[in-house]
Amino acid sequence: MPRPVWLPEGFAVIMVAVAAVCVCRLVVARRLGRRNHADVSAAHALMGLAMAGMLVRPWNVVPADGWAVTFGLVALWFGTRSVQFVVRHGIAGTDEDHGHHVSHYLIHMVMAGAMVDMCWRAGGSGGTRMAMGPSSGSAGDPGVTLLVVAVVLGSAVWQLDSMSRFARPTAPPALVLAGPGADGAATTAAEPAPPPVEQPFLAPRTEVGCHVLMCVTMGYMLILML
Amino acid sequence: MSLTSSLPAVAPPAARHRGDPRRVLQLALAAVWLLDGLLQLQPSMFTPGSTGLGAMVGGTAAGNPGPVAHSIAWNASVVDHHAVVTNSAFALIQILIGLGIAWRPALKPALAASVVWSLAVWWFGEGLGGVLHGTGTPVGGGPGAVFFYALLAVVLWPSERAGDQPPFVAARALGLPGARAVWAVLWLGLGTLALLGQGRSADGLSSLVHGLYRGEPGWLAAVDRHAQSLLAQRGLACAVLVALICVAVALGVFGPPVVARAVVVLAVVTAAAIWVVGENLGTILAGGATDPNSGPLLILLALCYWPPAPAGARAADRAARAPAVVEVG
Repeated sequence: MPRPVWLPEGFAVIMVAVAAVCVCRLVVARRLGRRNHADVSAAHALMGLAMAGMLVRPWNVVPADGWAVTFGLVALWFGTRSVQFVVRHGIAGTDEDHGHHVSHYLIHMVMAGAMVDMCWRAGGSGGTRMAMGPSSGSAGDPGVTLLVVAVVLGSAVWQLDSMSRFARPTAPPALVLAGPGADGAATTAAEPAPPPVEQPFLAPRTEVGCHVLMCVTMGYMLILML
Repeated sequence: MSLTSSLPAVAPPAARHRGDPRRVLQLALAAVWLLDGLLQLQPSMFTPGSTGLGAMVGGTAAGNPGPVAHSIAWNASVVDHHAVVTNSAFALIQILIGLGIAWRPALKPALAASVVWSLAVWWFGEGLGGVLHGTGTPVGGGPGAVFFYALLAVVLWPSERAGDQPPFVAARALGLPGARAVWAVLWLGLGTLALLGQGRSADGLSSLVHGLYRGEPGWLAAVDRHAQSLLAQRGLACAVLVALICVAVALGVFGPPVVARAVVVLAVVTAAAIWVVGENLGTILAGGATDPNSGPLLILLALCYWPPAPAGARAADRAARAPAVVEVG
């Protein structure tokens, strides 16, 4: 069925841009010694390139089977990180940097799993070339695909909402003296906050933006495969 | 004496959302809008002619009063002649509404835009949901999915009219009497629509389900076949049953919290059953759907009326989940 050529090409351009930004994040974070979710940036870069190759066939640089194996390993990595997280922080715990939940790792595991599925379907029987489109969605239960669409779109809006967390504070946070003051109550100190002991996180809003774009594009591609 | 910071540097997202159920429901609405926008980008939507969006829109004109039918036919003609441009614009608007609701600074403009857009689509794209010509049974998605988008935007509007302890999310924007009135009118209206026109005929609901299985996965097709045989010649009885459920749900919101919870559960179960049996998940799985239909939106709306736990239980829950004070010196 015909569709405007610019549509998949537009999404592919966005994906290449996201991949480029994620690679830059990895390089800049390393050179400046800034904290960064290196595994997430690497996964986003790989997903961006793979999805661009699925959307515009000539842009694909890796055989479908190669991508499938790669994302299988990525899913395994994030699955392991999820288990480690639960062991360390509990099922409802949060980590040290952004207060992320275990869902931070689980969502990337789901996305990597979806990539494996898309690579298999888009690769077809040959397994060397990939093509995206409604005709490629003959395998698998579309109910599961719809569930994954719901998960990735839910993650997109959830992460977009979280952007406000990273606004620069206009004033240093109030510090409270926990010990009893002269009147026996906690008092507020006027001293500035102590210097941070760790380098700040590298451009967290950019990471969130990349994740949102990745989720929206993946949702689009999965819907095409229904 | 130890120096401690009472505020974490970054509020954990889960903690923030746990404290505000309205924001969680707003995000769910945003996700549905996003899904809508992406469904609009399916190849079939860009196609002019009898299989395209223009024909789909034009099909809703039949049976409506003259002025309404003419306006729908005009819109269908425009969509058919400029399929790519109009459909791209439709998709973009819906995606932007979804992203706008999710991005806090754009929440109010996005919700306001969603009301305007929904009502326009309800008129020009869904033919007022078949309400005016007796095909708006709630089992088939009546009075139209987009109607519920507009209603949800109003119910989830970020204002506070119910004081410090609102009995449920919907009361925060509308006040308690207003929210209850909206709920009662909505469900009494759905009950009425279930008994009007085609919905109450002997084979009305059976014919609604008939043919839905085409293109659906096996498990959903099996549900359709069973539903069709179950509903055959029992249309009137089923319509009356649906109407009675709607009346019970409408009136239950005025009862004590226990009753209110029970009717919200009943509303969610009814909406879920309608979504699966009557709407086939919006026929998304068969391809070519423009939205997930009314089922998930009715569920979302019902959750806006879920009475929270008693204040004592909430306080204990908050205390148990409060983050530990961080030692900084």
